Amino acid sequence: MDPGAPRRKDGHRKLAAVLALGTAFAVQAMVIGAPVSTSRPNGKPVVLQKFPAGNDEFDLVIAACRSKECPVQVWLRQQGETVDRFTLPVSASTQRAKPEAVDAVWGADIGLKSWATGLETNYVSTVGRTVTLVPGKTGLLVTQNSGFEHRKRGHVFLLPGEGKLVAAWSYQEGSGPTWSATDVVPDNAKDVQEIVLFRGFRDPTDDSAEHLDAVRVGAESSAASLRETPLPDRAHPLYLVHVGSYSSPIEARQARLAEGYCLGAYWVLDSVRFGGLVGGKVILGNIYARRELADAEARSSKECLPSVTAAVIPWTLGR
Amino acid sequence: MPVLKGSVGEGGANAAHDVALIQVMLRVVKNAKGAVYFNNAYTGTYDAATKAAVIAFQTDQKLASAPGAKLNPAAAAKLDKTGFIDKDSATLKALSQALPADYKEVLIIEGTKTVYLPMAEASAKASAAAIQAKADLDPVFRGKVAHLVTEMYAKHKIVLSIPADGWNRNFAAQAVPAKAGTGANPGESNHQYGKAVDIGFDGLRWVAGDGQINKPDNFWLSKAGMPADKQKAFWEARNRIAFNALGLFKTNKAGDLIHLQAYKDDHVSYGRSLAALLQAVSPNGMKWSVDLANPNQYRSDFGLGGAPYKAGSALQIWGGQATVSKPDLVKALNAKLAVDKAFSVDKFFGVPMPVAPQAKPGAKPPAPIILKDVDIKDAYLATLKTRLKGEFQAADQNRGKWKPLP
Repeated sequence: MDPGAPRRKDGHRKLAAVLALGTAFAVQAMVIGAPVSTSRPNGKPVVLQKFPAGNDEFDLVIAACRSKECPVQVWLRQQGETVDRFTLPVSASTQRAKPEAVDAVWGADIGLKSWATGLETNYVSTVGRTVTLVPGKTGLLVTQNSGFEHRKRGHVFLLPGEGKLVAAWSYQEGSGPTWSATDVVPDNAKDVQEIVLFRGFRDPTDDSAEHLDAVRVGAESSAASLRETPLPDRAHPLYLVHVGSYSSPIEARQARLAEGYCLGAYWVLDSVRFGGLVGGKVILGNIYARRELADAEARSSKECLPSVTAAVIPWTLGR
Repeated sequence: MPVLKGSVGEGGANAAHDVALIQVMLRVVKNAKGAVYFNNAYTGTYDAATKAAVIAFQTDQKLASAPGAKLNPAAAAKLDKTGFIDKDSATLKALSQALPADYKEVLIIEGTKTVYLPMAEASAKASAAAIQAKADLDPVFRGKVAHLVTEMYAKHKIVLSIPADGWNRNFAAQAVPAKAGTGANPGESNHQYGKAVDIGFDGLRWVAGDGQINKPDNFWLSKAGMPADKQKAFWEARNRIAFNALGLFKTNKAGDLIHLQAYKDDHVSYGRSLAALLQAVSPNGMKWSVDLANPNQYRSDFGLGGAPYKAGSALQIWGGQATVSKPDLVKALNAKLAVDKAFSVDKFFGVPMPVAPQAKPGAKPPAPIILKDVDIKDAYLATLKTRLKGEFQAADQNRGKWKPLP
């Protein structure tokens, strides 16, 4: 049997927050799948990467091209056979993919390798990583980054259930100067992982701060669905990298523009939301879910611009 | 008074825009008991609930005979047709008069399903004037964009305007979005060359499904919860004027709907176009090209006249962090030394040279210099990175010479 032939129909289904809780298994750490062949533009599917997950395996695939579109898919494989396929929102324009590094602004966990196809007009890059939100239930979190002048990012968490792949959670950027990223963090208290979604909107209006927030996507142990919970909360601090306080958004933007190469990725944020942790009306800052990433960002900014004071400030509920 | 373009009701044309307008009116006009006539979300689709609401309003206002009522022909002739609203009907006039003050001027664009409020004419004039005053936009292009603003207001009473970062941007300004994750690095955005703007709907107030008037929306129509299909309809209304009447274009590079530009870029490579500009205005006589496999990675001969070597992305070079490697620089310098016996590496990089000892008469000529990686001083690399950045600064200052190339 052709390993690419599904036993069941294609699985491009609507978002459905269904997380069937099964028997508890050992928690799996986030697994970066093994890269495989990427250059076989002959009409056959190209498997970019395999992600083993217990008895399941997720394959990240660029399917055969039709017209000028080559669907990017996740295949669910069980016992050596493809049992379902999920077509991701953005198609590639070619099956020729090359790995690229995921950095702090790309939109997924820093350090991952994403699979990029096309240039300028046709740029689409896709990265996957396994995530265990509840014991014994591992899914694949996929992020796609596409576009040129205005990059757009989308995130979908796929879970296997009864031989099918189901989109248990997803987030797609809308129109405007949007940005988003997902970061997979361990929840040590529950011995599982959680997805942190960052959502940003770079409102360019002179008198407006920009918008950047974070939510935790997780499953309560007794729940049967995924929930988004605003961060920070009592158990989950965020880490603010603060590089400057200003009296107005326009002043902050001017400071960012003056050092665009080093500070361009920072956000103009309303300081009130940080509850006295920082001075000024607005700040240039960024938020992270993991201390080590915030520290790395602060170090990187200092290296780029030695005169900058880049402080990492834990931000918890009520502050 | 709201304007119907056709008729709504039993046997009416029931175009979506007319139905939506009537539904909104019936959604906010209340009967004697204080209840609205149409208590559903407005959709633009004529249905039983719309029919019932129209009849109820007509009956309350004695504009049409109640269903089943028997009137003599003379009396019936003076009334509107039951369950039917024509564009000049008494029912429409009465419905308009009954509207709350905020809704008196509601509008809808033909073919769409979203009712909105007219914007201020003074704002449209100010927006058009601001565009015309932007000297760093191509004169023909800015004239068309200003005309778009005027036409959009004339047709739809909507003010189009440009966000603070939607104008022309120099390379330094482009570094900010580039660092924040756009694909277009300094010199690679069509916003660098005076022939592109972002122009949207900032301040538009539209009526939500429940009849409430939203707070002013943003440029992208993404602030007040407008569904994607309704957003698209507004962009299409703008584009009918921009594309069809004025010869403006969207970008073929995947991006937001807000973007408009002066030229079609289906086959434009922004990387190759920038490389051509860099070479055309190079202060150091450098040749520039792009990596064939990646037109957003640049190569330069470093001004040495030989083969091109990797210099990095436009953002790296602009930031003074070109990715020049010592082995590449060794190759470039050795190639130069092989063909130019008088070439001085230190002089090329502006590094002070030690005084050369006088050659004794009759002495052998010195052996040809062949550099190795260890011979590459940090000062060479630093100088070269600064010089490469200078090339980008020259391109930035000569943005008017940019041409879109395939």
